Formats: sequence, C-alpha cells, structure tokens
Amino acid sequence: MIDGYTKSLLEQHRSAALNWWPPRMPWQQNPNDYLDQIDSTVEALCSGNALAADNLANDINQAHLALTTNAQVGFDGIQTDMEAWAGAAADNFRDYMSKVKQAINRYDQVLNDFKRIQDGYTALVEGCVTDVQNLLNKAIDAQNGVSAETWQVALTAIGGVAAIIGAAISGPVGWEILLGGVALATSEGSVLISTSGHGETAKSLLDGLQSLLSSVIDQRENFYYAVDQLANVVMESVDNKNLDVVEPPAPTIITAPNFDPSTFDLPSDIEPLGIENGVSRAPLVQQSQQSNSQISARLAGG
Amino acid sequence: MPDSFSVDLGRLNNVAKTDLPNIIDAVNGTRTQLNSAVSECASAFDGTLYQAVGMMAIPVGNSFGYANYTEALLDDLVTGLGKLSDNLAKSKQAIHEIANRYAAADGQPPFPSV
Repeated sequence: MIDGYTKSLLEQHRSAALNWWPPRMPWQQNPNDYLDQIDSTVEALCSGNALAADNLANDINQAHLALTTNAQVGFDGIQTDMEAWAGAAADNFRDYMSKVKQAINRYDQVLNDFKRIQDGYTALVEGCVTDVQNLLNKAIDAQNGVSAETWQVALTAIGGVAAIIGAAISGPVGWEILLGGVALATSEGSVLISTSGHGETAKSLLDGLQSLLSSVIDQRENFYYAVDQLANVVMESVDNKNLDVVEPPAPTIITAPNFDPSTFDLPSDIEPLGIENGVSRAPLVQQSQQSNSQISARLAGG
Repeated sequence: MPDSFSVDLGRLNNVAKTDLPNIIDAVNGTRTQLNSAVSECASAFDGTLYQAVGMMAIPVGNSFGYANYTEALLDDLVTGLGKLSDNLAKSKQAIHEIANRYAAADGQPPFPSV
C-alpha cells in the first residue's frame, strides 16, 4: 500500500511533468500513459507492509529467545537429578533427553536463520519505499529544471539486504547453500535519471522503477528459496534423517505397555530393601492414539 | 539408608516437578510466539505485488508467495514443537508416577501432583 508521502510525490511528479510536457501530436504517446505506468510500478514496489514484516521478525526472534532462555536450566537439572538412577529405562530416558536437546538445538538454529531472513525481507520492503521516494524526488527536481545533468541514484533495497543477512551460516551439513542466492543478488546498485527533457525524465524514471522492480522480484525469489531451504532443514524427506532429529522417538517410560521396575533401577545401595517388589507395574501414562504430526504426514506424502 | 532413599526419590520427582517443566515451558513459549507470527503473515506480504506485476506482464518466477512459504515453515515448526512438548509432558507424568510408586511401596506419602 502506498503511503501518503509517496503518493504526494507521485502527484507532484505528475503535475511537474504535465506542466512542462510539450504539446504532442496525435500520433505521439500520451504522457499520461508513462505516468500511469509509473504509478502502477510504484504501487507494486510499495506493496509490502514493512511494519507487519518487522512484527513478524520480532515474533520469530521472541520465539527464538523463548526456546533458549529456560531450556538449558532444565537439561542441567535432569543431568543432576537422574545421576543416581540406572537401568534400561533410565538409560533410554537419558538418551531421549539427549535427543530432545539435539532437536531443540536444531529448532534454535532454524529460528536464528529464519529471523535473519525475515530481517532481510523487512529491509527489502523498507528499502523499496526509500528508493522509490529518492527516485521520485530526483525526477521532480529534474522536471522542474533544477539541473541539466544525468543523475545517478543509489538504491538501498538490494544492497542493504545482504548486509543484514551476512555471510556464512553454520549449521547441519548442506546448510551453507541456504543463503547463497540472497547474498549474491546485489548487482543492481543504482539507476540513472535523465534531465535532458521532460519526456526523457519520465521515461528514465519509469525505466529505473522497472529495473528496481525486476531486481526486487529476483530478490524475493531468493527469499522464497531461503525459507524453503529452512523448511527442508526441519522436514528433510531424504531418508527421513531430520525427522528423527526434530521429532525424537518417545522414551519407553511412556510407550511400554507396562512399567517394569527392573528397567528403572533404584541405586544399588537401596536395592537390598526389596522395595521394587511392591511397585505397581501398570502403565505409567494413559496410552492414547497419537496422531501423526503434520511433518510426518508430509513425509508420507499426505 | 532410608534417608538417602528419600532424597533419591525427591530428586527423581524433581525431574517431573522442575526440570521437565522448564523445557516444556520453553517449547510452549516458542510455539505461542510462532502462532502469533502466523497471524502476521497474512498482512506482511505481497499480494498486491503479484496483482500489480501480473497487470504489467512482468514474469514472476514463482507464484507461491513468500507468505505461503513462511506460513508453511511456521506450521512445520509449531507442529514439530507440539509433538516434542506432548512427549515431554507425558514423560513428566511418567517420572512423577515412578517416584510416587516407589514412595508408596516404601510407605512414604505421595508427591504433590505436577
């Protein structure tokens, strides 16, 4: 949606262009055709919602912080509180918790990268508006005859993104390809605004805006690719390796049909009490039919 | 011996009372934030871009917009973390139950529910 300031710049430019545009012959192009195309290109470039994109980045960051703030305290506590317990079920639970920790580390990495991608996307949306406004201001000056030179206007929408996202990302094998496309898409650094005539100025403005739009569309494609790659890190279907990482199989204390005290031993110095004989062997938790997760369903082609 | 037995059971129950809840809270807090992010998706992205470039006949490589990709990833994260949280919650119940069964067999009072 075009903001009020950009809209006023468009109106100023149209007014300045039409004010100076020479009388045209019937077969010559109507200047309004150029100006209408400028309007629709600007509308496309300003279509992102920077505030909502920024809110989304903040939500992802808060999610990332929530995951990392308290979890480690819990893992440390389990390590200490379980140290006196032995047996197959205890070992299985320790192994399960180790896998949970690995899963949380994976989610942590994904959320960290997701946040960086979203920050880059927000910068792209904001940069589009800044660039459009800079181009329009230069074109208005040119239409008003402030200068007789060709002006080079630097673009922020493209160059700023790579700076925010940064370079290499550490992660699982293969993850380094994640943002390659985004980081490389920085070639369109500036456009030229002609001041040699009012029609030429409008045309160069339109050319510049369309060039920017084309780069932005390419850039957005890179963002789609990057997010898609992240989704693959979460639910990689190749040999289902990642599914076990992000959804570790449940421990036997909740899957076994009955509780066997001998698999969850008391410390050896207590065992002579024979207390295990009096312990109920009923299942520890109510068994319920677990529905497949969305990730499992997708991997199964659902 | 009974003293050390009692301490060990208390420590086991700590897993259910404190340690696992810390992890579950972290996972659920993350899910809450991600659900909030899903609600931002619809307004954050580029529906009008595609309408505009469609009218201008500019080729767009992929019509499946960023919002769709982002929502799909957020859904995957929320779902995966949900399953993790469910199993952790069941583990919490199971550990609590184990501590209570040993306590009952030893004639000790049950631990408060977690």
